[in-house]
Amino acid sequence: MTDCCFQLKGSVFTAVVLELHRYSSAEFTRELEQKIEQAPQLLLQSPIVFNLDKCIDQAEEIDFAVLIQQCRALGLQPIGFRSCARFNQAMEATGLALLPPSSTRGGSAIQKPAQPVAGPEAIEKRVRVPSKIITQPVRSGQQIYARDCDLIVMSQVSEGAEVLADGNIHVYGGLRGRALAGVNGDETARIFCHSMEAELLSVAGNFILSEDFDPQLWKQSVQAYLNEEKLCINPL
Amino acid sequence: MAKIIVVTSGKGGVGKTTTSAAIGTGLALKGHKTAIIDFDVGLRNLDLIMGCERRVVYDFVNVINGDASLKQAMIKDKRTENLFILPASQTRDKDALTIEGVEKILDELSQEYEFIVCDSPAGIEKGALMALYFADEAIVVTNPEVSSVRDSDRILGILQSKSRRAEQGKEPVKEHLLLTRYNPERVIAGEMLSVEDVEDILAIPLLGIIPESEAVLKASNQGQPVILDNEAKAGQAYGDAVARLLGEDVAHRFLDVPKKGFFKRVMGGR
Repeated sequence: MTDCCFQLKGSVFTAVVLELHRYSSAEFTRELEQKIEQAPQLLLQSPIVFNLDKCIDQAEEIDFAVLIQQCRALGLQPIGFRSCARFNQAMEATGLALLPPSSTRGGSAIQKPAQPVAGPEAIEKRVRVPSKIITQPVRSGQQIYARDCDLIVMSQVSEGAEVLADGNIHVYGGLRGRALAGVNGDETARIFCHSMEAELLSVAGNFILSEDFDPQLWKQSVQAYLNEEKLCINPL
Repeated sequence: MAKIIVVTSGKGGVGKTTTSAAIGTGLALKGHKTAIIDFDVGLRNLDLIMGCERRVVYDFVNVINGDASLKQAMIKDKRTENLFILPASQTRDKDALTIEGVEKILDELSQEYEFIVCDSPAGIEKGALMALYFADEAIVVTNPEVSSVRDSDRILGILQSKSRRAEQGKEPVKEHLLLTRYNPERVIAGEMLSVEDVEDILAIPLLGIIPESEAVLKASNQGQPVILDNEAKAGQAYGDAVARLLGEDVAHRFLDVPKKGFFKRVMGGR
């Protein structure tokens, strides 16, 4: 093998998906500003992927360059569009990446490309991803991500620490940091904790900050789950 | 083999160097041959607290660079038998420290000493990482206030992820909490976190509680480790901490508000 000055590797990153429901320039800037204000640390500089599936009828009127500029002006980093056959050309023209269309999860309007019928071999290959189990405290500044599985933390999650999972999150010590379940978009994911003292709870991108928690739930055993895109926190 | 103990905190000004000097001196007083290394290259302080600043000829960086031998650079303490200090360089910065250089020095010291106390600089950058990388045990110095506690939590995370023991998958660094500048009166007044609060947040074993004391500042300015001041509560508390570090079972003291004597009560003095 020749000695190459670089190496190509596949990697998975989490990005925020901006799903447009309708679009008018002024309204968009105003509401985006408000959203960022609620959680500047979560959103500023974070990569953004546009998804136009839910406003496909209106998409023709959107000037993508302006849309991107509006996001950049507020400190977001647009990196691409969810592909959508009708507008692929216009999307490509912006210079951003075209990402594969979203799955049917969340009731997207676009048609799924015909998938090859999975034979018995393909089914056998489907392996269970074991949960990630953490026994040590998750300290301030640490981030634990359970990819494609549940996360179980047997100890505490300190203030300033962050635990993320594509699946559910269980915390058996004090949960004082941030917990984000279903970061890949799984809206059925839940967070369970023994003592809820979190800074932020999020399921599939729908989050609540500590100041919005019901004070009665403080230090209680609770679960957090999505009910019609609204994050609910209930005692266990 | 020597036991390598890092004194660290994340936050500055909480008493790391005071603690390094006191714990190092305490170990030597108990008859263990001890070296204290100042890792705060560029902002050297340990020599002042130990009162040996006029005797610094060669320093840590000189030894790493091979300009001096370890024997030449180690300063023998004049007051305490078995105690040696390796001062930091004042003219260089933390980039002068290398993993290989530090490892070589620690290996050489390990042959001869029983304890090596590494006085970490504040922060979580190179100097602090170097100080904790080779540690077997860590004394996390924390003040009873929220920012100090959070920084200690951060440094605990780093100890468990970036130390050599963590990287090599060995038994984790043994952690000790040392709560300094503790003032029971202010805890009762709600101005300061209590021992229980801090233990609850950090969840590591408590090595000692050092009461806030004027003796500490006095000792620093005189270049005399506070542990040598038997009159001062802070000195006694450090003595207790050293005993616990060596495995002795000593009850915690100075947790309650001191009762004012008759004279003080009448005069309303403090």
